[in-house]
Amino acid sequence: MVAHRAAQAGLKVSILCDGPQVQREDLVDRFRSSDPQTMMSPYPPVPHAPQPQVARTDDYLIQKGPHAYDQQYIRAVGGTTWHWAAAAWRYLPNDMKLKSRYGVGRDWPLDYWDIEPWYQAAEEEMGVAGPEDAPFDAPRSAPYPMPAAPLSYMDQVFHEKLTALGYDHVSAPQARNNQQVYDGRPPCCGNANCMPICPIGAQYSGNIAVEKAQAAGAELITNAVVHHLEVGDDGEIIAARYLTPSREEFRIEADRFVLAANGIEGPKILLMSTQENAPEGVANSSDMVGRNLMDHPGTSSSFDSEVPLWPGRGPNVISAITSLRDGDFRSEHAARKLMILNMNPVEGIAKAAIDEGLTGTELREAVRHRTARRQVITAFHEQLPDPSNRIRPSTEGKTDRLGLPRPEIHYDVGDYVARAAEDTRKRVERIAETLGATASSVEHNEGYLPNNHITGATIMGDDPRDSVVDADCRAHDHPNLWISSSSTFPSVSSVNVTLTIAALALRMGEHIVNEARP
Amino acid sequence: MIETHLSRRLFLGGASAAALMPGAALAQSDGRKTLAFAATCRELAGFDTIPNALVAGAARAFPDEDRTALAEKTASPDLSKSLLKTLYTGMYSPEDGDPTRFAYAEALMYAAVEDSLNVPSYCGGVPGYWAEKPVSA
Ligand SMILES: Cc1cc2nc3c(=O)[nH]c(=O)nc-3n(C[C@H](O)[C@H](O)[C@H](O)COP(=O)(O)OP(=O)(O)OC[C@H]3O[C@@H](n4cnc5c(N)ncnc54)[C@H](O)[C@@H]3O)c2cc1C
Ligand code: SF4
Repeated sequence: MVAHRAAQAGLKVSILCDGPQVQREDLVDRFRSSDPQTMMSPYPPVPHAPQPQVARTDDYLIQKGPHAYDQQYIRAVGGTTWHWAAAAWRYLPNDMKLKSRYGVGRDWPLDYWDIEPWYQAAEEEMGVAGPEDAPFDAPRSAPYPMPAAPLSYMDQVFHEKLTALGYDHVSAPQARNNQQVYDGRPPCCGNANCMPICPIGAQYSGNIAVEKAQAAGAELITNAVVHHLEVGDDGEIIAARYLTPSREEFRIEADRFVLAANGIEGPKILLMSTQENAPEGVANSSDMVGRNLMDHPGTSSSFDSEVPLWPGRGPNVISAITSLRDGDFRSEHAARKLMILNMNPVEGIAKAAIDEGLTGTELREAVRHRTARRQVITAFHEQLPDPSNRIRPSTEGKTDRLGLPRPEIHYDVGDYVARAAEDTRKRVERIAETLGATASSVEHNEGYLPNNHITGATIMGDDPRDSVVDADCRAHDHPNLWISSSSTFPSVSSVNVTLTIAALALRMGEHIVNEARP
Repeated sequence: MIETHLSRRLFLGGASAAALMPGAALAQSDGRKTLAFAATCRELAGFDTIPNALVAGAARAFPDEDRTALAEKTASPDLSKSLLKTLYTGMYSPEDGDPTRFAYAEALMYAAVEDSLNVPSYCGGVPGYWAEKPVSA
C-alpha cells in the first residue's frame, strides 16, 4: 500500500519480495489436489525462503519456550493475507491507552483519532463490510464502505442465545465483498474456503496492492531475499542487500526504505544487519528490536449443540462476541474477542466416527448428525509486551538454505492471559449449556493456539531509549527507514491486526510522499 | 431424505464396475473381484452408489492382497477402517507412509452432508445464501 501510494505520486519505487508471484487459479488447483489439506497446501514451497507451518514449525522457527510461538506466514508476492479470514477490526481508543487507562502494558504514542481517517481510508481501499453502531466497535467518522455481512443461520441461533446471556454479539467487520462487486472484485458466494484460499478473490489480499503499485509504475523484483541494510556514516540507510535463490548477492540503493517483511522476518533482518555504523543491528540502539513479541494466545473449545445448526455455510468467520474487548478488568486480566467458527468440520468428524468402528448407514448418519451440531468457539486474548519475549537470529548457528540464520524465539504467555483464558473456558461452557450441549461434549484445546498476529518486535514509542520507531513508524535511529508491520504495535489488543497495519501504511505512504515531494 | 440430493453422484456412480479398473480387457475373475470390491465399498460406507473416482482410486491405492481381503470380506477391522477413511476423505493414508489424494469433491464425507454444506472452494449459492435455514436444520 505504501508502494502504491508512492508510485501514484510519481516516485520511483522498487518492491523486493523473497518469494515468487503466484496466481489464484494455480493456488486453488494446488489446494484441491493436495494430500492433507492444510493452511499452506495451496502455496508452493519456496526452498530459499522457508515458510513456517503450524504443524511443523520446528522446520524453521526455533522454539526456546516455555510456550511455542507457532506462527505461520507466506513468503510470496502478496504475503500472508492470501490465506487470512479477512476479519478487519479497528482498535478501540482504549486499546491504545493501556498504561494510562489500566496501569498495564504500554501506551501508543498516538491517539485513536490521529489514525481514524486512515482506518476509514484502509477500509475503503480493502472493501470492508461492517455493522453500524455495533457495541464495542470503534467510533467512526463515516459509514463502513459496505453494510454488514448477513449472519449465517448458525450465527443467528447463537445471536439469540448470546443476547439472552447478556453478550454483545455482532456481525464482524470483514474485508470481503458483501453481496456486491467492490473494486472490480466479485461478491462472496460462500465458497467457505477463505482460509486457505478464496477461489474468486471476493476477499481482499495483499497481492492486490502490489498489482496496483505495479500498474502505477512500481518495479517488482521477486525471489530477492533481503538480509542486510547498510547504514551510512550519517545514520541513513544507503542500500538493501539481497540474495537470489542461487546465493548471488545484489545491492539496491534508494533515498527511502520501507521494511514490510512481517513481524518475524522484519526484526530478523534488522538484527542480522550488524555493522560498524550499527553494531547491535539496524534501528537497535534501544536494544528493543526483536523484543516485546506478542500474539493473541488463543483458546478453542468445541461442543455439540442440541439442534442442527450446520457450521460451514458462508465465510469462515462471520460473527464475534465483543463485550469483553474493554473494561476495568483489563488492569487484572486480558481483554478478549470470542468468535463462532464457521468452518466445515466434517473431515475430523468422519475420521473419528470411522475410528469408533461405525460402518454403513450408521456411519453415514453419524457423520451428518455430528457435522450439523459441532460448534467451535475460539478466543483471542490480549497479551502484554514483555521485553524478554523475543525473536533473534539463531544463537546456535542454525541456518536456512541460503545460509541465513533461522529465527529463534523465546516466548512466555504469562499470567495476565492465563487468568483470562480460564474465564473464557468457563464462559464457553455456559454458552454450550444454553445451546443444549451436554457437559461431556465440551472439549477445550490444551495450552494456547497461535493466531498469527505477530506483534511488538519493532515497538513504537516516543522515547528512543525504549522503542524502535516513532509515531510515524519511522526508525528513531535512521531518518529514512520506516517499518510497516504489526511489529510496531505497542499493544496487541484483542482484535486482528491487519486493518491497523493497513491504516498505518496508508498514513506512512502519505508522509513519505509529502516529504519526497514537498 | 438424503438420496433425493444425490443426483450428481448417482450419475457419476452409474458406470459399469468393470470400467473402474485401469486396462479394458480384464480377466473374468478380476472383473468379479472388482465388483465384489465395489460392493464392499458401498456396504461399509453406507452409500448405494459411490463415484467411480473413489472406488477406482481406492482400488489402485490398496495392495492386491488387501483388495482381495476386502472383496472377500475377510479384511481385518483396521483394514476396513482404512478403506472407509480412503472413501470418506478421497485420500489414501497408509499408517507408515505419506497420504495420497485421488479425489476431493467426490469424497463421501462431503456427499454425506451435501444437502446442507457445499464442498469448500466451490461456490455455495447466491451471495448471502447462508442466512437461510439449511434444508435439514
Ligand atoms: C491463517 C491465518 C489467518 C489470518 N486471518 C486474519 C484475519 O482474519 N484478520 C487479520 O487482521 N489478520 C489475519 N491474519 C494475519 C495477517 O495475515 C497478517 O497480519 C498480515 O498478513 C501481516 O501483513 P505483513 O505485510 O506484515 O506480513 P505478510 O503478509 O507476511 O507479508 C510479508 C511479505 O514480506 C515478504 N518477505 C518476508 N521476508 C522477506 C525478506 N527477507 N526479503 C524480501 N521479502 C520478504 C514476504 O514474502 C511477504 O510477501 C491471519 C494469518 C493467518 C496465517
Ligand atoms: S466464503 Fe468463499 S467467496 Fe467468500 S471470501 Fe470466503 S472463500 Fe471467498
